[in-house]
Amino acid sequence: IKKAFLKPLALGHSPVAVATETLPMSHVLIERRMELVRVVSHNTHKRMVSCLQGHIGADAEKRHKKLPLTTLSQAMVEGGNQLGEDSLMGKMMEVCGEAENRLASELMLHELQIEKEVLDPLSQLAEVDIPNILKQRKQLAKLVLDYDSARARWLQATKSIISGTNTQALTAKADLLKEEVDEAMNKVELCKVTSIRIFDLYILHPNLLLQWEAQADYHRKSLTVLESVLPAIQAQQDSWTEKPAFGTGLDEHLKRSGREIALPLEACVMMLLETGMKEEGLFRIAAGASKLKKLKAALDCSTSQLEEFYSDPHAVAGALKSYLRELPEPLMTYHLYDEWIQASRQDPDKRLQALWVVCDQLPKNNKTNLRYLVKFLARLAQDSEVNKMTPSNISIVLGPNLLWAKTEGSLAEMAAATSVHVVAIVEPIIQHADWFFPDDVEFNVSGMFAMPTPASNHNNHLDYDCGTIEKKRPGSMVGPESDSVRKDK
Amino acid sequence: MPEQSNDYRVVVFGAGGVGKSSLVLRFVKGTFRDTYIPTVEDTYRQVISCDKSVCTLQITDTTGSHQFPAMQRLSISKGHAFILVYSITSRQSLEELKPIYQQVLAIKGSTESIPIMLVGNKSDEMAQREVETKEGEAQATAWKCAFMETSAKTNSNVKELFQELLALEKKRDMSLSIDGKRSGKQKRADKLKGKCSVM
Repeated sequence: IKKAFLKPLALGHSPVAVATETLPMSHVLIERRMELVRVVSHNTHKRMVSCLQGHIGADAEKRHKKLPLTTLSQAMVEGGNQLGEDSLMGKMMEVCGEAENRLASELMLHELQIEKEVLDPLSQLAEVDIPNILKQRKQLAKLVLDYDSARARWLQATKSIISGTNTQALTAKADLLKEEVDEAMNKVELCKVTSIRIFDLYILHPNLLLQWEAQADYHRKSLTVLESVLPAIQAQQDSWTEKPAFGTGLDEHLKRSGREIALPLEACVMMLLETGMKEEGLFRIAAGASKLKKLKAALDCSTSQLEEFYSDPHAVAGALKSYLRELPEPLMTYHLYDEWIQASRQDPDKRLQALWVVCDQLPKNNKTNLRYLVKFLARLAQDSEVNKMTPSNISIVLGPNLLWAKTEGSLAEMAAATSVHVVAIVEPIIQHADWFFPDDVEFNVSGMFAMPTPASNHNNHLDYDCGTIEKKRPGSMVGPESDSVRKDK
Repeated sequence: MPEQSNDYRVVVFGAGGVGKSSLVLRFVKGTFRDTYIPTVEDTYRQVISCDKSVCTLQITDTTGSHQFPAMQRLSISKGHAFILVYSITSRQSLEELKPIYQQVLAIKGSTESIPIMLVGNKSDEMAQREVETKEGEAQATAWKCAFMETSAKTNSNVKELFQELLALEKKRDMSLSIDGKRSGKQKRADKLKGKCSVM
């Protein structure tokens, strides 16, 4: 394209320079060429305009508003607001929406620049300048003809002076004609100068180069926007996908989820209160591995349905054991490990007091969650006639999940010895739960797992529609659905 | 381990509540308790005849309720023979044995020269049966090990179980009877939980 534009320019100069020796052929050739340039410019302009997403000629703000990217951005931000900041999708929508808006701004600026520096000159060339040049050329051709005829007449007159008689009159006439020739000459020269000036004004190739430069620049800027937003989006994604409760430190999990009691702990306790309290060998009998895995995954993402696990208290108990076991640090902590062991070795009459002292040293989060669990286990032990799980039995099967030595693994034998001590620590705590933790515990802490019907004799009816965990569907907490969910064994 | 040459170690694995302790107690003490007490880990010892002499049969009753991989590995690497117990009333308990068998296989390399018994306990509870005898046999065939259904409660096949296990050991010639009397020198070596298994 560049060459096509340049060629007529090169041609354009020379014919004007030799205008006096007018050559009809080249004349026509040039005009054809000019016309061709005009048509090409016209078409290019037209197609280029249709490439623009904004409306040509509109002001910057209006253009920005009407860009598809802007409307997309607005839709995303709006959607983000509706979904809420406490959901991954809502937050993502917001971040992405803002990014799209910045992209829209870049696009708008780019299009404005293209319009001003490429499209307008192109339009000028096709619609104004070339027609003008052609007009000018016609004018020039006419002037050249005028000049030629004036010159011919003058030459004629000069000849007749030599051969003629009335010299004076003829001389006067010749002089007159000479003036006409000079005048025509002047006009030709004048026209030539303006023609040349028009050509000089339109050196097109820098504009086209600019088009590419502008486009490259636009893409670079957009890339910068994308790259600057990418880490933020990545961070968002990470902060939400790394949300599993299993295997995450207690403090971190509580902080991130804004909870007081760990989600798996509360969920499992609430489920077991509903359907597991009469189950023989709860926490002892192994759960189906696939069911357990599924439940753990459900608790991790806290968006799945939990109803199906009601009928399988052993899976629920297994998930609770797993959660405690997979904590990076045991619920009863590493740093109090020695103190716990020491306390368990005290004489029976001093043991409770010693254990209480250690218990009091637990970090707040650990203490709160241990209290919650112990209160639940004590309640489970109340039904030990049916479920066979006495405080002793519970501490045998669950104790090793509450406290273990940091060195376990390298010293497996020590771990075996540890389990024995742990039983001696956990059993009295469950046995005397109300002495260790005098205040009553409301198991339904967050309200996420409970149904708001006070009709039954205990308030632990559950709503296992997990949508409520994400607080995305608050309406789902209501009655009949939950009723179908409850399965009493 | 200086006593290695003399001790013969049997490890009992299985899910919680399938009756590992009951089987071991029935065999060692001849009693059955109807109480419900999970095991942490107990070890029982008994003198048996071995290669025309005597040696100590050491039976480790493991916990079924919480698997500590490190402890399990240790038990397997120290064990000479294994009893894998499930309850015929729980299909799940048979499933639970699969990872344990794989673990034994991984640590011992090959199970061909290792005596292993797959045991379906609680054979008296026919009404609650979930695992057919044929299924137990099929699993044993797949694992190339011996199979037996037992009842610690009714003392069915318990002694036979240990007899057959010892008979599977080809490196030593072992028998339960010494002087026709069994419980001569039995003792609890690791009395891990006082009140849990003293009858």
